[in-house]
Formats: sequence, structure tokens, C-alpha cells
Amino acid sequence: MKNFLLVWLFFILMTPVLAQAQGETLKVGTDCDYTPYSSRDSDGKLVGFEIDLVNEIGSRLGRAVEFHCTPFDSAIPSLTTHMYDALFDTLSITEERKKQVDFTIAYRANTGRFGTTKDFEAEIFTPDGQPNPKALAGKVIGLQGATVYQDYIASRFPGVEVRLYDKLPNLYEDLNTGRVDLVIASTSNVWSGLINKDPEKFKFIGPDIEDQAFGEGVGAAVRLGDPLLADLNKALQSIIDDGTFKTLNQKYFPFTLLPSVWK
Amino acid sequence: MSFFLGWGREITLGVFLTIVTALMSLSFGIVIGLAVALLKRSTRNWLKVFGDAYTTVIRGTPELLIILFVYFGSTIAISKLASLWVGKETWITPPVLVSGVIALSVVFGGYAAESIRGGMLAVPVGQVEAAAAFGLSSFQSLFYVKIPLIWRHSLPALGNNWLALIKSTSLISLISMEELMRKCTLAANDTSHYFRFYLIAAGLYLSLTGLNVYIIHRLEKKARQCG
Repeated sequence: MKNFLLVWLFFILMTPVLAQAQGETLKVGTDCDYTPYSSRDSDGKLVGFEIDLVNEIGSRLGRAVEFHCTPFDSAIPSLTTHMYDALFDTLSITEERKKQVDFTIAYRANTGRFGTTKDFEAEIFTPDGQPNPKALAGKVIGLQGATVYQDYIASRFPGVEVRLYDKLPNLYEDLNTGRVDLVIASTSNVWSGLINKDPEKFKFIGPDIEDQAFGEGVGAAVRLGDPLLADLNKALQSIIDDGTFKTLNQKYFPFTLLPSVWK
Repeated sequence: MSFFLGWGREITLGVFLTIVTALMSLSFGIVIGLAVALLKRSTRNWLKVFGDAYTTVIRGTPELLIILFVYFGSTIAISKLASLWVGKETWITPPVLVSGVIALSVVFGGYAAESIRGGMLAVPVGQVEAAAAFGLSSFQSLFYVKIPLIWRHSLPALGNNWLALIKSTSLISLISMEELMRKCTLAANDTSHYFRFYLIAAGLYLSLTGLNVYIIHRLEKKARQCG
């Protein structure tokens, strides 16, 4: 019995070491619950734009890919404590995050957009395109906490009541039940998570928003100073250059993720 | 299987992980609980202070915090030690199951210690003295008199702790373990049938806890008979 326990303990403790010895596997953190970037189907298989992109990067680098599902809140701490080596988590590139991690080149430009129910009307932006917080007096904006949209609303729509959510699906569900009047998130997510699911009920309101607060787009993160960054950048660039990016993009979205690459 | 919209297999895996995590945490946690209860009853002051500090900290901080602390803290601590040992920077990440079980055991131990201590206090001095008067050694007195009584008196409270532990396992989803709750959330988000999958989760937790309420009831009945 004692021997058995010792052997068991040995394996439990050595598993990560043994796994490390192989070395070549690319360990990637991803959300697994964020359609259409990274989600899981009912067979437990990972699907989505980021999953395809990472698999393509893996094959170009000649490295097997191992995905780690990570909740958004603990994603960056898990990266810095070596739970995985790269993070593809629709992470917006911001100055603040650059202090903690290094970012690859962007694989999505950042535009945000408001979404709401069909019958909701408000002049969110004045005719010359300026934010108009007065139109939203007494309304509630829902958004995902710890995202760039939180800062954007705080600075451009001061005084409007904001409700923070952990997960976008919960946010959309609350728009459906009327707990919030409108939502803001990335254009692509408002489209795929809300409007595309029920176009009879939901709509965009206001134009695509490009704002400095949204930063330089979405990139993959690696630990500060990790040489892996150069490899990832090279692979990403070649995927963009030879048109594979456009094919992957069109597989999941009817609009471009990188306007600078294709329109 | 159409009721589960194809998610039956994944949810079954989740239930399995929930049960495994809960049982492992129970077995380690009860040992911690017993040890801490003994410390708290110790006549040596510094041992007592340690035991009191343990239950105060564990019962006074959110479980979520302890789980995150163990998950990230253990990785950093083990890696620092390994780096010292090897002489260069090395990173070792314990499997999430280990972190999850350690965290939940530590938490369960804190609550169980109080329950067991309650059981110890309820042992009548007269019975222990009677055991001595009958010539039982202190060892015999512990096994044949004290432990059955402690077990009988602390079982209801321990049962309570155990039910709380089963539900606490849902917190380890935050360190990316896909137990019952997380699987149901994934299914709900994938299919947009939120109400259905949250109801399934509620039903499954209720059957797990219901079964355990029955087991605890039987144990309590048995504990009352003997001794």
C-alpha cells in the first residue's frame, strides 16, 4: 500500500515534468466558451476561428498544439505562471496589458458597436458623430467587465448607468429579459452572439465605432521577452500574406476582421 | 438523449469529475479537520494558537480566494523551489486536479475541525472516567469510548460540511476544471437553452446531495445504535 501511494505520488508530481521534457508541444490558452472564436461543441471538440488559426500556426511551426481552456479572468495570470505559453483569447492589445505580456501582430482590428432590441430607439451619437450621453439618461448599458469597453463608456458616456458582466452570453440574455437596455462589445461578437442568433429581435444601433480606447486590435499574448513571439509573428504574417487568413475569416464571419488585409 | 441536446456525455464526465473531486477532498479534508481539532484542544499554548489561527483564516476568507491562492501560489512556490534545486529557472505546473483538491481539502478541513471539536466537547467526562475505572488503558478508552462518541456527536455537523463541499466543487471551474457546473454552462452557451441546462445542473446537484443526505441519515442511525 505504501509503495503504491509513493508510485502514485511520483506520477502525479512528475507528470508536468515529463510533459515538459518533450518540449515541442505548443501550449495555448483559449477561452473555449466564446463563439465563434473558441468554443466547444457537444462532442467536446474545440471549434472556432482562433482554434483554426492556432492549428494553422502550429502546423507552420511544425509543433503539436495543446489547448488549455481558461476562464477570461485568470487567463493572464495563468500565462505568466507558465500554465501555457501563448494566449489566444480575443485579448485586446492595450498599453496596460503590454506591461504584463508581449503581444503578437493583430489578428483582428478592434471596432465596437452597440446592440439592442428591435424596438429601442435613441440618438446615441449626434449627427456629427459625437457620443451623446444625454440620449441614454435613465438607460442601462451592459458590457463585459475588465474589457476596453468599460473604459470607453466611462470616458465617452459619463453618467450613464453601466452593468458589468462576467460572460457575454449572460449579458445578451439580460438584454433579452430587459435588465439592460443596450449592450456594447466588439462588432463581431455583437453580430455573432446576439444579432445573428435572432435577427427578428435584435439589431445594431449606431455606427461601427473606432476609438483609441479600443487599442491596436486583438493579438495573441506571450510572456514578456519570450522568444516564442518571433515564431508566432512569422507564422501569423505568412498566414495573412498567402490569403489563408481571408479563408479562415470568411469561414466564420461575413465581414472582415482585418480591414487592412482585405475588405 | 435529445433532452440533453447531445451534451449528455460531456455532462456525465462533469458529474464524474465533481464526484471524484468531492470524495478526494473529503478524505484529505477529514484528516486535516481531525488534526486541527486536536491542535485546538491541545494543552500546549502554541499548538492551540496554530489551530485557532487555521480555523479563523479558513472560515473567514472566501473559498474562491483560497482556490486561486493555492492554484497560482503552489505553482510559483514549487517552481521557485525547483529553480533553486536545479540552479536555473524552471517551471512546474501541478495538474489542476491536484490544486483543486488541495484547496478544497484545506477549506473542508477548517470547517470539519470545528464540527469535530464540537463532537469532542460533547463527550461526557463521566464516561471517560468510567472507562478508566473499568481499567481501560488510555488507548482503549480512545478507541472504544471516545471516538464512537465523537463520531456520533459530530456526524450531523460533518454531514452539513460534506453537502457544502459537494456544492463548493463548482468553484474549481474558475481554475479551468470542467466539472458539472462548467459543463452545463458550456452546454447552455452552445445551445442557448439556458433554462434547460441550469435546471439540469440543479437536478443533478440535488440528486447528488439527496443521495448523500440519505447516506448520512443511515450513518447517523448506525452511530446511535452502537456504543
